[in-house]
Amino acid sequence: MTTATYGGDEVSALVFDIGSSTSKVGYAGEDTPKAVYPSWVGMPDDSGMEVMDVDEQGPSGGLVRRADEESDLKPVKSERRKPRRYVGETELYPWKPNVELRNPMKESVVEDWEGYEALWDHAFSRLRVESSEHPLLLSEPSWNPRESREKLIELAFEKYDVPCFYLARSAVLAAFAAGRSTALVLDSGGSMTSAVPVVDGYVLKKAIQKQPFAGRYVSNQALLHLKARGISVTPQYLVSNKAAVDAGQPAKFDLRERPNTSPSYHNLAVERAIDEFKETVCHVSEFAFDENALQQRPIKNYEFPDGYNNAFAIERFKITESLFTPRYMLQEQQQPNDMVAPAPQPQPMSITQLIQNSVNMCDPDLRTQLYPNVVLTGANTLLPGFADRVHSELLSAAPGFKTKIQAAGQTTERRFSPWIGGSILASLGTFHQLWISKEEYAELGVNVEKRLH
Amino acid sequence: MASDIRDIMQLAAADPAAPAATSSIRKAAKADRPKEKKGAFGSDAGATMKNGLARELFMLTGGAPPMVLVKRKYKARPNFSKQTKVAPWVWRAFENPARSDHLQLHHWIKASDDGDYYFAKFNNPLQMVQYTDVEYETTVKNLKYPNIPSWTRAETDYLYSLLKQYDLRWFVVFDRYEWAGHSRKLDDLKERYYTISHALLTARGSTGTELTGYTFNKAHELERKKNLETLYARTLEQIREEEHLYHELRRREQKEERMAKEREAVWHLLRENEHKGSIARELAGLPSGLSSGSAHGSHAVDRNLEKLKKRKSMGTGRRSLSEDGTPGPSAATSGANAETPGAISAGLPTTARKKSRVKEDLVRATPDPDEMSPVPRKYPVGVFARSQKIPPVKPAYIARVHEMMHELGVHYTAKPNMPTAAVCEKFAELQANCQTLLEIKKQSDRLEFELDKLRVRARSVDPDDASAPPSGLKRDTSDLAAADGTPAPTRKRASATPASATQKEAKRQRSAAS
Repeated sequence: MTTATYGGDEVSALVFDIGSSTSKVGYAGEDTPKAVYPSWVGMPDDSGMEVMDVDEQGPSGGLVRRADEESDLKPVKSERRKPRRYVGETELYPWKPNVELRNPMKESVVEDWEGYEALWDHAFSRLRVESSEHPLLLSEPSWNPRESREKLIELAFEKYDVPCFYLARSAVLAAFAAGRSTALVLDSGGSMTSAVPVVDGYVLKKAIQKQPFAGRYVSNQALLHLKARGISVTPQYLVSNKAAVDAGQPAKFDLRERPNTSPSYHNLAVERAIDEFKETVCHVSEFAFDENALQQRPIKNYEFPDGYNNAFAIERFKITESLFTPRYMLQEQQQPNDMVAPAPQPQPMSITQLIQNSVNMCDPDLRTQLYPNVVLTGANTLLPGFADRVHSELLSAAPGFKTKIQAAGQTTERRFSPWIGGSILASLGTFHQLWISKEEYAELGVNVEKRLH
Repeated sequence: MASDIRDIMQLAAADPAAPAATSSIRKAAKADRPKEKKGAFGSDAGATMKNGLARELFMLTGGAPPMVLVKRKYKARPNFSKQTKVAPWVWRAFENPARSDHLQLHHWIKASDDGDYYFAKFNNPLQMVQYTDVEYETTVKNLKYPNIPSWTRAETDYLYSLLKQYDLRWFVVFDRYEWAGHSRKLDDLKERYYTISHALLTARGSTGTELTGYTFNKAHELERKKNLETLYARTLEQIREEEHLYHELRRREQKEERMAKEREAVWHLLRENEHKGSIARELAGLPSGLSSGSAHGSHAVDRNLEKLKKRKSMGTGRRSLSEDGTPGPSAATSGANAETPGAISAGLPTTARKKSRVKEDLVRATPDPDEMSPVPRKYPVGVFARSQKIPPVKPAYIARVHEMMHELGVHYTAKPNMPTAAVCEKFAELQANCQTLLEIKKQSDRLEFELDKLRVRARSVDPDDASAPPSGLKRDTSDLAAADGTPAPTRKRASATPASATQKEAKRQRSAAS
């Protein structure tokens, strides 16, 4: 066997990593996912009208619902009718009236199974493969409950008829992508920030620390900071035409008429605009927040979609600071007509605290192995200065340990590291004995979940 | 290159055949056809003859290229026409023997590659010590664990199933251990498994080395983990302080060592001086080097011991001659001279232990051979003047010793003008004392300087107490000085000298009696 040197053996497996904000899908053995699309599903309100005729291909769900042109070409054979779903940037982002956008995940766990299926369908169609022909490796959050796992197994075998299937914890995969089997994985993605200890390729469930403060939270903070400065963000789809204005001057633009826009579409559009702002401007202070020192840092100009532009100095650091110093968190403004004061929003825990708590829940013998192997993953950790800050805080918070941060330098590697880990795992020759086969599922049913690690 | 050298040597260009083979290394390397090469060398040799070049020059200008380069042969282009057919690869289904089901996966594989699945061999399930029903009843059930809830068969089975599933990865097993209402710690699980294994193996008749992997001391583990927790809980300040203390300790240890060394040096100095005094005395008693015998000052004593050992094997005849038959010793010298042989004869009859002690003393009293003047060892053969035996001053001190002696009114500084035995003795003693005094003064100056430094530091560290500490410091530093050995040796010396004198006296008496 020629591949024996690397221990690789390709069985043309697929790897899906459906995250809370983006889905990454591709072929095992490659170094980046073939398709990356937002984990949002557009559902037309009047689904009765926009029905798509489906060409049923047995129980398989592959290649079923490719866009309209396919259904135009194929004769309608099926009785079964499926409502139209919009998935993928090209279908999702252009404005359409009365399209409700939904994110099927909540805290990285599947909540809306119907929408989730649409994401899988889209994945198979983007990869142009039959689901029944390829082993499928799916990543899941480390805190995925048993019911959810059982349902995923059921979905894979019953609906998509995969020959074999495997559910791998995303923290384990991220550790593999970093070349480690023992690590503390700090994953800060779209909706969740978690610190998960991984030992010998197994997640220590009891020591998982997670909180719903990640990329979306930072975007929200950015929005609040802008609001406090009196800046309102008008997303691109509402701007028909804009004129150049000086920095700090009110924007001059024409509003586009967009009737029947669903609030979810608007929210996502605003979020995208804010994300862009955040990714361009925001920065994490490399050391403990010191306003005077940070005033010296260069300012950054940014122009919003409506033409308003301004320079941002200390805000760049203030927006992200609440990830590390929770008291910098901006509270949602209280509405003046609210009679009852809203309960204060829960504050995030400092990321360093999260790591420390997680490590301290592990056995003392393990801690010396975890601190030198802190793996950063998830797009939120790509904020400039993030890794330096985590390191400097850990150095002072855990002075008795050797601390080392393993953060992939490449953006793609950091964003896709669970997928890359999955790609590595699914193409290992020694892994092929771990797949859950159709036969096993037929024998044990969803109880086969117990066999997964 | 060869042509350059030819230019330098102002030689005519070699015939065209020679450079072709020799000047260009690359060409030479390429030309690996032996026939042609031979021809080239032949013509080269011919040129040598024709031009009348010396052989050395020929070697310089060219000749055969270095062997290494000649040997480097470039591989010929692969002959594709002879290549066999491309090995076909096929998309083939395979079953993994490591699996219990019949899952068929597909992969690309060389058509010739068949046989078992390559990666199946990596499936090595861990071999655990498992109990049977009977063994559980007879052996395992009787195991007792104080202070923790007792183990049931069901729970033990559950533990074993987890251990099997996770291949004894204890951290993972403990993480997944979810027995209803349990409050067990990781070490409880470990203890259970290892005691069971130990008991089972013992019951099955294993002994010694087979059991080594199955001992588990829970108390020790708990203690260790507790200590680890304490270690991890240190704050940054504590760690820094600890580091600081460690360095301070190291520093002090080194200082102590250095001080001990210095004290030793001072000791040495003083003893040396004492020793020099005795040299002078001996010197005074010696005749002017007419004797070729044993007693050339006490430096020669240890040498004499060696010699005596030799002579002992040779016979005693010569010894008696050298000791007693020294020609023309005056009455005064024989008295003084008796000292050295006395020391030897005192050493000789005693036990080996005593002899070695004597020798040790002598060795200790005698510093480095090169520190002492080499002159006593280099007595000229034959006749020499008595004054030549006076040990010279260390080169570094010559000028100052001379100056000092000058101040004392001794104007003939290099050698005594009238080298009688008495004068030589006094002269040597004075010289030695001067040198010692200077050396001690140097040491004391150094210590004084260090003391000053410390005082300044103490003041800068604690400026409020600047007035008070000096006295305290003074006391402290005087102690330090005492520890340093500066005053101590003087005391010692005062006492040591009489002691050694009495010892010598006793020896003399003994030798006289014999």
